[in-house]
Amino acid sequence: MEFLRTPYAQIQVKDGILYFTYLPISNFNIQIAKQVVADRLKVQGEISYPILCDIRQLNFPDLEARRYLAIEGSILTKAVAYLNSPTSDHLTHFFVRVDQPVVPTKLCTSQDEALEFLNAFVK
Amino acid sequence: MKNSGEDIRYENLRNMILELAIGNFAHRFQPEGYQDHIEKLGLMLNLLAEELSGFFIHPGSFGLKELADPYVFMMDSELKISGVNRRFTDLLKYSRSDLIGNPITDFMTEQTIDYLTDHLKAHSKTQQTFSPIRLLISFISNYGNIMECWGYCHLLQSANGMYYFFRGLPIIEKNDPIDPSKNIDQNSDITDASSFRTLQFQADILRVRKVHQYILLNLHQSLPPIPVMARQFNLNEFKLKKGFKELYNTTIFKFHLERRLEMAKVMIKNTPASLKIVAKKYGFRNYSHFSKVFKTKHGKKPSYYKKKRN
Repeated sequence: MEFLRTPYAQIQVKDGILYFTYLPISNFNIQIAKQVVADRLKVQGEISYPILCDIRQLNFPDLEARRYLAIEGSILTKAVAYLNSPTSDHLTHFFVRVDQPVVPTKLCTSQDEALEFLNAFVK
Repeated sequence: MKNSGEDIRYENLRNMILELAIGNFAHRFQPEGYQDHIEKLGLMLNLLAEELSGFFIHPGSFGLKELADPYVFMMDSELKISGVNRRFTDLLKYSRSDLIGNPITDFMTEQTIDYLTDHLKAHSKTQQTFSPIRLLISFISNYGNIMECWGYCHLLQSANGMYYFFRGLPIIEKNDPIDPSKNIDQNSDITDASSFRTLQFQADILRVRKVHQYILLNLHQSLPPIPVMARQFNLNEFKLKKGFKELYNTTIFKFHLERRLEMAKVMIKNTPASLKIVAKKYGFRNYSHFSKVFKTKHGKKPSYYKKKRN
């Protein structure tokens, strides 16, 4: 399985990169965070990928969800590029700085910038 | 130019918020003398940082008292030194014979002499011996350095008259030349000393938080022994162990183990990876050990979740 669409995200593997596009989530709590990670792992099997995480439509997760995404959300990830709009990147900045994901992370405002960062992690 | 300057100030504001969010209550927004909302908000955040720093953990949790080695000296009613401990001679870089029999005022800044004599006079009048008075004393060492120290003074009454018994701790060694003309406000000195202690304590918290992050980055392998980690993060072992327990309500190794077991469970439940591979991925020496601790934590063996997934 290299493509999955759930109520929360669209997940696709292409050219060694996992594209994870969040859909709008009204109340992003720990249960949703767990489901989101589980869905991603199902697509991946046992393979680690660099991840392009498009969060332009995402509402900010609550504290418990953020903690979960920062740690458990790092399973089978080589690196994450968060793609966000320039006007709303401050909350992503907060997540990266405060919740401190345990894999290399970059905040990007264009897909090209994100892919340039992630390509270094593609085998 | 104006916009660029304003952007920098907004950035400083944002940075202050981020520092607070990661628990760095020692960070401060630097005021620049503007009378605008950015400045006001920055200053309010500084206040918030001060308030927050006292909320979560008491400095005693880091064992500050237990770690200290106090200086002790005694003087008679004429303020002549009648006894000292080794810590005191080491601190002032004088021999015991240099100190004993001489007035304590020979080893203090002028401001401290006035401050001390005023307090002792008031203390002697009341003749109260049940509680010590707390003083901030600036000693002058044999090398000319100023040693700022907290001191607790106890009034002792004996058949030969009154004695003053001092015990305390150094705060910081200043290398500034002594300037008697400098009018030091004692209240502000006390605030500075208090700030220093608070900053020291907060620096320790930040170091413990870094250890926490280090553990999360090393879930795939065993941790080094506590003494090694303590050296690596510039903490003593006591502060590391006690501080971690206070902040995270668990021990370092238990936290490391539990995080690995949580990660392993997520992986077993959601991926086809073999149990041996999962055990190896999270640094367990063999599957048998992994299975045993996994069952203790989750109540079921890893194979239960594996079968359930299949």
